[in-house]
Amino acid sequence: MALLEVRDLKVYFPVYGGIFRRIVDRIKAVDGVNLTIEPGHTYGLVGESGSGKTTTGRAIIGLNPITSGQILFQGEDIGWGMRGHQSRFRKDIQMIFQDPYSSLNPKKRILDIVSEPLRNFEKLTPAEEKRRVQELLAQVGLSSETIYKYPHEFSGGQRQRIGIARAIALKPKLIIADEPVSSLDVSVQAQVLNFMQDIQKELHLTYLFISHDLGIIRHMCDHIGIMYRGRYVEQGTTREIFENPQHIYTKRLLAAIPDLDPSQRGKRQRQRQLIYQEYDKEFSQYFDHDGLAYALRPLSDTHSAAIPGRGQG
Amino acid sequence: MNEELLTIENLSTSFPIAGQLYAAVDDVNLTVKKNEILAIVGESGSGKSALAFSIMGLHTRAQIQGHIYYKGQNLATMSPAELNRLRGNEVSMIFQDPLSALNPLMMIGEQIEEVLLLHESKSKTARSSKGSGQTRHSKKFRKEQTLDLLSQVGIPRPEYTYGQYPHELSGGMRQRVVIAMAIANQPHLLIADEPTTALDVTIQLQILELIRRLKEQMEAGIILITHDLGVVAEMADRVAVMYAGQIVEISSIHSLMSNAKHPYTRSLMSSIPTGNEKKTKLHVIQGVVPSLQHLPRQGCRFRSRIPWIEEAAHEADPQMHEVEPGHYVRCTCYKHFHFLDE
Repeated sequence: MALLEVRDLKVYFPVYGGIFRRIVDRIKAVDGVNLTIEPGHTYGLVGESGSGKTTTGRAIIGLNPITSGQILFQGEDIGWGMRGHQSRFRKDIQMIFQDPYSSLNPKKRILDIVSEPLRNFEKLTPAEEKRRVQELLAQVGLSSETIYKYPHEFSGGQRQRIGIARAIALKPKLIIADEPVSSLDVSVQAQVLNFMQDIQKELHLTYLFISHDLGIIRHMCDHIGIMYRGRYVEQGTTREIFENPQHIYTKRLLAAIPDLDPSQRGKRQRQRQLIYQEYDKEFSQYFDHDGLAYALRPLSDTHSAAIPGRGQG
Repeated sequence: MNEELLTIENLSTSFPIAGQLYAAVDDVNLTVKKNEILAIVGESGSGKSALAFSIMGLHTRAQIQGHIYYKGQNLATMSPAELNRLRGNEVSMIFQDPLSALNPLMMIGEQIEEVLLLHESKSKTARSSKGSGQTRHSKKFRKEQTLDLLSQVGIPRPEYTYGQYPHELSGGMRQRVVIAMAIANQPHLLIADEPTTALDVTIQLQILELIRRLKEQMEAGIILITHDLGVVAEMADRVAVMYAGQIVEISSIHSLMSNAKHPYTRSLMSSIPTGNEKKTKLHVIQGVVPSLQHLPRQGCRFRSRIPWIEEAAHEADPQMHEVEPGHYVRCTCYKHFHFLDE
């Protein structure tokens, strides 16, 4: 059974206007997203800024209200947003935030930051709590005397690991990682990515990995979904997306990845030119008159792309 | 063609911390030629931005030693008034964070016009052919120039953007405006400090292509500061790798990418996910970049990050060694370096 299943998720934000501040329009941040994540896998959500990938992640964990659609966790409706209803899955889904500088409260000690989820869900004596926090910090490679320090005393990579310690404190099943390394240096980034893979094996975690960096997505993920303006344009396994992209938008995105071989520069520039020309020429075939993607059509068991049917384009 | 535009000799930039001076840029030597992109690579804290700010004379508290020759004039000893005549004219800079580099209370068009207005003396000569009979001081002329610049950097509706404020634009658009301001007076030397960090890949590519066109059309010398080796491989003609305030390796891009020598360069390269789907471990450099105060000033600065290499491999006073024509490496430890799992 899939760990997480999202069915036709829509998140619309109201736009207020006019003299009575009435709702005059709605912004369709997420417009009909379907995705399934198997336990122990890493699912990558890719897209440019404004494509709705972060909103999708936040809707799954209940930080954004859902306009319509269903989120099933282990086959059961997750039930965020029901009034007075604290979902029993709250413990099982955690989040790692993008910016390690703003996601830790600067006025709290590391002990208080990491133990906050424990205090909400488990009744521990102060001594037990301290021991648990030290264990968690040891798991993320920080020494146990750091518990009385404040966030400003740590580097970016260390802070991100504190964020991870907080996320794994309640032994969650699903972690939503929203650009977890995009504000870190390359070598620190490598450290955090390695570490995320290690604890995934150790704790049998499932990741929803949100990023705009395709190199990292390729390294981390088993399945990939590509979003454009709130809709999916293509989804499939990492291999299918990188080796056999079907949608023109995916092709364009892949072509933009910088290449590490400088001797191929001229050749790559010509390839990009071709893909860009193709993109401009065939845009109207791949997107409807509002510039939105069509519904996904299955190409294989795992691979589907928003390609219009024949005669329709 | 290979005219040297900028020559930096023994440049050190020191900052006072608790009454003592600490060098963030330590004895840097480099040159930038016309029609060349020199990339400076390094992690945060390696001193690459401090170096750029030293060239532009933007440090207020730092003590700068050494020489920065731009077309034979020493920028390090220039008065602020003399510097102001160069900056924004012949030498200009693209800043990392486009939102803080723009004035939130001024329309985009006004901000670009301001650059043209303040440096009119030069735009007069550079653009006299396009004047079409108007005085260069006229507002109409400047507006035309501004719209021209906006469309040059690929802004789709220049007239509309002219009247917008920075907060109304997306990150990529803002960065283009900053670039438009930097190239307004057709600089001969352009310093781009992380111009594409925090931008999407497709927009990053457009910005990089814009910078490359600038080099080709104006034959400008460009210093591209970045931590992204992918960007370096796409753009640079030559690369300088900085670690803890020093240049540890400098070479042509081809020689560096195929034959990197210094342990730091090699470690950096193996820590990028390269796209093989086998979930191999990425390389992690042991330890952390030392802070300015705790920097080992003696011996090889990278020594503490590669403790498995014996002490004797390092030089007591690491010098640059030429390994290939034009390819220099600091310290002798590269000869003995191997990764821990090799």
